[in-house]
Order: sequence, then structure tokens, then C-alpha cells
Amino acid sequence: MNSDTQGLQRDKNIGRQMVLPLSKAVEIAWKSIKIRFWRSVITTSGIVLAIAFLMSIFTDTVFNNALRSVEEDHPRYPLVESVIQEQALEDEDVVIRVGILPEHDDKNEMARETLRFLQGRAQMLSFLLPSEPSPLKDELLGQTEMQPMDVMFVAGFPGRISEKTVMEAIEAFVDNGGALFVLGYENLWPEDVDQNLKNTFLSLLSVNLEDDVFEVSAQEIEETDHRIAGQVNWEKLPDSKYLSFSALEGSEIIAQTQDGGIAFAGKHGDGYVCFVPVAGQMTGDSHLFRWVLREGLLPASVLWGARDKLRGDVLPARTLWLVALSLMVCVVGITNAMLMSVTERFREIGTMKCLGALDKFVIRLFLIESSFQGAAGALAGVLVGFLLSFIRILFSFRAQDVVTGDMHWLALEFFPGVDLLIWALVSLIVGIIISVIAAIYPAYTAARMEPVEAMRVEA
Amino acid sequence: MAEDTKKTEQHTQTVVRTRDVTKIYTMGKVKVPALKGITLQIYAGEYISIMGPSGSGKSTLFNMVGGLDKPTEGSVYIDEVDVAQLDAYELAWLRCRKIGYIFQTFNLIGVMSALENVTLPMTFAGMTTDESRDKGMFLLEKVGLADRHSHKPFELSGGQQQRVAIARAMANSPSIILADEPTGNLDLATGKEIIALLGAMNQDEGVTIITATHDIKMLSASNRIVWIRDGSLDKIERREDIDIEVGSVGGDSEGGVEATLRGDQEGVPGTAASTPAEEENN
Ligand SMILES: Nc1ncnc2c1ncn2[C@@H]1O[C@H](COP(=O)(O)OP(=O)(O)O)[C@@H](O)[C@H]1O
Ligand SMILES: [Mg+2]
Repeated sequence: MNSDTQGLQRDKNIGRQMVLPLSKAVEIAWKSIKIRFWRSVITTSGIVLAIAFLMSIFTDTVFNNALRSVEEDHPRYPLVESVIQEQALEDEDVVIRVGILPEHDDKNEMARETLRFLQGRAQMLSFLLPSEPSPLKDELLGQTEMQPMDVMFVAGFPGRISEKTVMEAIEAFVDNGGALFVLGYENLWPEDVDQNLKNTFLSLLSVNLEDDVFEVSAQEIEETDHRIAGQVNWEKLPDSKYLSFSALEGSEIIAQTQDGGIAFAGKHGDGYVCFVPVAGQMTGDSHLFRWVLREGLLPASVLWGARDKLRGDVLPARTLWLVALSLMVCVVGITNAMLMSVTERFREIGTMKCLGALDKFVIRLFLIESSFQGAAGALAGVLVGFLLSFIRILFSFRAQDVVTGDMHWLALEFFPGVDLLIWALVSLIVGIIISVIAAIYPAYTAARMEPVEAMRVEA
Repeated sequence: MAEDTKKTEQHTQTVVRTRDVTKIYTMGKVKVPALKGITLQIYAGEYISIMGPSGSGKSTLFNMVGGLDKPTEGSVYIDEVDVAQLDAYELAWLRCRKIGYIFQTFNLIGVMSALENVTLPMTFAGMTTDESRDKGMFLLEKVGLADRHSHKPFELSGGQQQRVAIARAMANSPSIILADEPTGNLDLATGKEIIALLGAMNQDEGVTIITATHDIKMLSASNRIVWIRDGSLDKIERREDIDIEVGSVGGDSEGGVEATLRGDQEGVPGTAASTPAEEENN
């Protein structure tokens, strides 16, 4: 038979198989899952866990963002703010960097004592700052390879502050959003201090002037004794946005030393300044210092210094990496399970090919099967992940109003329904995509199987 | 009389033709010659049995004829088309519409009911659901399992499963049914029922049936028997010749069958090229 007639015959006798409708593939895939229910459940459990993890992180993020978007003039803002800070401090990724400007040993010890107290509440790293003004500024502002400081302790007064360049470095630090602690500011100014420098310092002291909370002035007690004194406009305090202040409602003054010094804190530029008198401690009465610590003025100020960190990324890179890792593990797990399933189903696949199934159909079959499993697993994962996170959030996102004593369930008050729905959908789609990706290789392995496999007699 | 004429006409039309089919399996460095040049013609409407001891190359030949495997050398023609020339779509079409496969292990799709198994090839062929359900029920009725249409394979006995498989093989009215050891997993009585059913399909529908078996008790429905030994064609016999020798003993008792084997020396080795005319003259 020559090739011409063969071509003719071929056209006459043999047609081309068409691609099978999707509905049949869906039907077969669905039945395959049903009959191997428990196996499918086990294959899917990886997806459930990975998507639960993902959804729990999404839930955390969505609730955190919901709180973060509460406006400052909202009546619940102080409560929200306190919850945000508590949450951030529980997050081990938030480390507050504290720089100590070294002074005499006893002053440094005071700074360390303060730090030790604070360390119980937040994760802190302390650094001794360099003495030279220029490296000092670099380190404060993070112009070296290090991150900038969040908080700075000036352990002696006026000490190093009376150096012009140091003062400039400190001011730049505060203007950039840092929190400055001056321990023992009520000490004497040296007589020969530069008058401009003194004014700069006084301007730092005049924190929160826009709120008229403080009025600070330099007092001349004796000719050689310059002290800083301040007055607090107490009527303003209860309305202040700062947690520690609102907690102080009804107090006469924040704190007062025997000789009239006060501890106070407030905003200056983008940053915060907190002045704590230590004279009491020097004279054997450490009451004021401890009181300031206990009432949370210091901790609150520390948190202000790190507020960008505390309000910052809810999804640290490490968490994202963990999610990616768990999804990858999940892909490998599903691929492995499906490869085994393909190997076991050689007869079924071979038979289908003998019955006229195209490679495309077999690929479709396995991809659809996997996407069903992925959808079911991801749905379960979304529910599990949401519930686990939500229960935790419900109890940690509650705060008691100091004035009325009412408990506020902020997670319910600011329930981010729409966002949750969107991210649940995203998780679902991720789950399906992940399982389809995982099924690609097994599906091609199945499609490459020869129909003659159906003839194999041994198992 | 009219039927006879029809049958004769069918038996003159070649449906499968092999030419010097050689198959060498390469296992590592070892080459296993499974087929050593088989030339064979199978005519439309025939019931042909490929016989031979285990390992003689029946399945190998069978897979070539069914378009499931490609020969190392030589060609296989189905309806005068060289199978080696077909692309994937055409091969799938061939398997779907031209050939019905029956397996030793039944190979029903486990997740589907009997009816769904029968209608699957029709769906592959593009038939609508209603049409295929009607035809599926008709075929199940033919194999006597209409009342079991909703049963899953694991709810059916081996013989019943093989009946469903026969109905499935007939789904797209193929011109050839290929059955490799269709009774291999069945007991003798059930095996005979299956052979009888295949024979009935051959008689009623005129479908060409090619089966492979190593069990001479399963030859009763065959028109011709192709003997294979060590990958070579041993001889081709018409069943009438065997029947005459077996005589009244029939295919039922083992003794009778052995008598067949012993009396079966007349077959001419190498009659691969024997023409249908010759055979009809016998
Ligand atoms: N896939 C294969 N790979 C290697 N050798 C094979 C393969 N299939 C069959 N054979 C060999 O080819 C020969 C014929 O096998 P087969 O056609 O299955 O015989 P039968 O069906 O008659 O029992 C045997 O020697 C067998 O071992
Ligand atoms: Mg065999």
C-alpha cells in the first residue's frame, strides 16, 4: 500500500478525538474524592493547617488594622491605643532600642534601674551611646549601619547637655520622633552655661505647649542656682490623649519633689520628652522616682518613643517567611500524596485512556480533583484559622474604662467584617491555587501513563 | 441464508492487518524479543482467539493490534491505516470508537456505577447524556444486568463486572473488541458465560472479536485460532477443524480438550498468509 492511498484511508476511517466537556471531568473528579474520602481528608489536612495559619495571620492583621484606623478623636481612642501597645509589646518582633548617654556611675545606675523596670514590660535593647557628639548623633538617628534609637536616656543633668553639639544631637533626635528621658533635670545649671543653650533646653522642656498643659520656666533660686520649674495646667490633663495622663485623672499633680520639681512628659516636635526629677532619690526620698515608674509615666513615654514600631508592620518579614514555608511544605505534601495516588490508580487511568480519554482530560481530572480538595481544605482552614485567632483577639482586645469601670470588647465594637470576608476569600483562593500547583506534576505524570498500563495484571 | 451471505461478506474484509510485527523489549542491557515478525490478517466479523502458553507474546501482539503499543519493526494496520502514523488525538479517537477493550481485571472505574461505566466512552465520543443513558441501559439489558445499573463495581461479582465491561466495550459500536484473557480472573463456569456472551455479541452485532487466552477451554466461540509460540506464529486453525476432532466430547470436559490438543497436529505452521478464500474453502 503506497502512502497516498494510506493518507486517503486515514482521512476516511479515522477521525480526531474531541476534548471532553468540563462537566464530566468535574463529575468524575468529585466522585473520585468521595470514594477516597478519608484519603482525601488526609491529603487535604496539610492545606487545612497551612490555610488556617495564613487566615489566622490575616485575621490578626485585619483586627489590628481595624484598631489602628480608629481616629484620634474617637471616644474609645485611649482604650484602643492601650490595646495596640499591649499587643505590640507581646509581639516578640518589637524591640525597643534604648540609648544611654553615659555620665557618672550613679546616674548611669539610675538609668539602668529604670531600664530594668521597663524590661518587664517590653523587649528592650540598651546601648551605651558614644561620647563624641558626631558619632552620638549618627547613632541616635540611625545613620550608621544600625537602626536608630527609639528612646534616649540622659542620665546626668545638665552634664553633657551643656555641650552645644550634644544638645543639637538630642534635639534632632527628638524632632525625628525619638523619646528623650532626662533624669534629674532639676539639678543646678552651672553659672557659666551658654544662655542660648539654656533656651534650647527650655524649649525642649516646654513640651506640649500647644495643649497648654505645661508651663516651664527657669527659676533663679539664688544667684548661682538655676533650677527648672514648671507648672501643670491640670484642667487640661483629663482630656489629654496620653494614656498615663488620663489614668491620672483626679490627681492634683503628676509628681512633685520636696522642693517643687515635677515629673512630666509630652510631645515635642515629632517626638516626646519626659523629665523625671531624681533629687528625691539623692536626698534619700526616692518616692517620687518610684511613683513615676509605677504610674507608668516612664513606660508610656518609652512606648511613645517606639510608637512607629508599635503601630508599624503587623506582618513582620519572619511571619511572612513562615507562611511561605508552610505553604511550600503543603505543596510538597500534596504533590507526594497525589503522586502516590496516581501510581495506585494506574489501572483506572489506563482504562480511561483505552476508552478514549485524551491526555488533556486526565490532566484536567487531577487538577479539578485537587482544586476541590484545595477548596474544601482551604474553607476548613479559613474557619479554623479565623476562630482560633478571633477567640484570642476577643479576649486581648478588651479594655476597661478607668473612669466608668466598663469593660469594652473592642474586637466586637470595631469588627472588620468586610475586610475579614475579603481576606477569607484571598485565603480560599490561595488554598486552591496551592493545591492546583501541587497537582500539576502528578497530573502530568498521570497523563503520560500509557493506556497499556490498564492491561497490567499484577497490582 | 441472507445472514450467511452477510457473514461471508464481512469475513472477506480485512479489519486488522499486521506485517512482520517485531517487538523487542529492552530491559537495561538485555534485549527481550517478545515478537519475532508476525504477519496476520483479521477479517471483519471474525471471532479470533490468540492462543499460546504464558509468556509466548500474546499480550504483546494484542497491545500492538489494539493500538496500545508500537512495534519495534513492522506495521499494524487498522482499517488499512498504519497505527504508527496516528497522532494522539487520532489514537484516542481510534480507542474510543473503533476498538472496545476488555481486561482480565475487568477495570471498571471504581467510582462509577455500572451504567456510568458503560456511558463513559459515549461521553468521550460526544454523545448527549440522554442518548448515552438510553444506549447504556440497552447494552446493560443485553448483558443481563439492567437491574444492576446503579450498582458500583465492588457490589458486583467478577462475572457481573466483566459483563458490564463487555457492555462498556460495545458502547460506541466498535468494529473490534479486544479481550486479553477475559476469563483469566473468573472460574470456569463464569468464564464460559463470558465467552458465550462475547460470541453472542459477535453473532448479533457483527463485531470483530480478538481475544487472547492460554486456556483452550475458552475457544468455543472462535472462528479461527492463532497459535503463538515464543513470539512466532505457530499456526492458524479454524475452529471447525478442532471441533471435528473433538467430536461429541465438546469443550466441556478436560479430557475432550486434551484430545483436541493431541489431535491438533494437522494445523499448518506458518499459515500466516493464508487467505480468507482458502479458509472458506476448507
Ligand atoms: N513491558 C515489558 N518489558 C519487558 N519484557 C516484557 C514486557 N512485557 C512482556 N515482556 C516479555 O515479553 C514476553 C511476552 O510477554 P507477553 O506478551 O505478556 O506474553 P503472554 O501474554 O503470552 O503471557 C515475555 O517474555 C515477557 O517477559
Ligand atoms: Mg498475557
